[in-house]
Amino acid sequence: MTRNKLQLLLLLVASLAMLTACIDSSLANESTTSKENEQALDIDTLIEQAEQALAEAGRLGFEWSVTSPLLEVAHATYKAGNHEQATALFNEVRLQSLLAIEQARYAEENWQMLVPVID
Amino acid sequence: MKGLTCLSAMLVGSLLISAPAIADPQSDSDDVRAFFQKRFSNITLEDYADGAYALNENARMQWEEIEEFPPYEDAVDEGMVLFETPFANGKSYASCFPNGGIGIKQDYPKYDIETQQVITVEFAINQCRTSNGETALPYGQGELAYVSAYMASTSRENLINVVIPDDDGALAAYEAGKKMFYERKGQLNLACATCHISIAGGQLRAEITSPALGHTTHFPAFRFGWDDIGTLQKRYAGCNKQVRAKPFALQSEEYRNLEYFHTFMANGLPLNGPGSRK
Repeated sequence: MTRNKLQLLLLLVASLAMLTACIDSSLANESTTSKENEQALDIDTLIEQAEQALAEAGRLGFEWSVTSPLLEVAHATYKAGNHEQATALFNEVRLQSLLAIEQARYAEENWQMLVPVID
Repeated sequence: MKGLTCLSAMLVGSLLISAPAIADPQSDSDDVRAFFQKRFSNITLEDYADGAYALNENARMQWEEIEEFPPYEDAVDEGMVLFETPFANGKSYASCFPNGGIGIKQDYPKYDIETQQVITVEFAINQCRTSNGETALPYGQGELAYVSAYMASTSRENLINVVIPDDDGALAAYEAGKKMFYERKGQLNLACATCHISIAGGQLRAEITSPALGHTTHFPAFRFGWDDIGTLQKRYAGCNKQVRAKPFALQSEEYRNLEYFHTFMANGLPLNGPGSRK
């Protein structure tokens, strides 16, 4: 009887453990899927922002020569499924473009600073 | 009354701050010359036509040796053949230019008031082709640069004489070119003026930075880096790339305006193109 009770207890513990593991695994899967969706949304927004900033830098005539090639690499990386690296690259495209836009703004206000001054 | 005075002062003040600089090309040219005269007091105005070779005796001697057997000679010969070959309609380049296109390069770029744009020699060459039913040639190098080189060779020793007519559009084009020359661009944040005004005569690695004054006298130029004759605007694009700025299209409005300003600065210098450069 005691032996049977022990077996039953062990079975119960094992079942609970399995159930917990299943729940954890299920929750973990849900969490991963949710994170992936979140990342996909973020990267889409990031791509849009990066491309818009690059277009604006180009419109101002201040696009850097290194930025468009970087955008191509970013897209290729994204297509290859390396989303983490692609995110970093799209961020870099966005940053470079914003700096170029700022450079244009600065130039508009300060281009005369390099005109030679005659004492 | 006090309020009115204050308001007037504010208005005048704001005008002084916000009014765009009125283009005064001659004054700009005088200032650039005075700047270089002060920096390089030992060289004459004419010497600037030789670019960086005016500043360094050793480099100059090497260049003079090269010029004894000019690497651009074949391009000039080919340019002459192309220039004289009639188009399919029987006309030729000569029909599109004053004086049959001979000895006129010193007058370019010109401002065309009718179309409100700067016309460089290379732009005019392609205009000539398309108006005669021919296809436009690629800018930068090749046949178009050879024709331009030939036209330059017929204009040697003529003094550069770029005219800026009293026209709002012409002054705006000049001013746009001037602004482009002085504004910092690219990932390296450098302007044309950084290398060719501020540190002209200094060194970037093994190269002497040439003065902006006189740059335009010797183009198209045979550059050893290109291993061919190329146009001034090809060099502009190269400079832009060197500072990691996306270059404009050759013969774009931006580059034509830049060439207008840049060449006006060289007025009075002898045209000595085509030339050879490292």
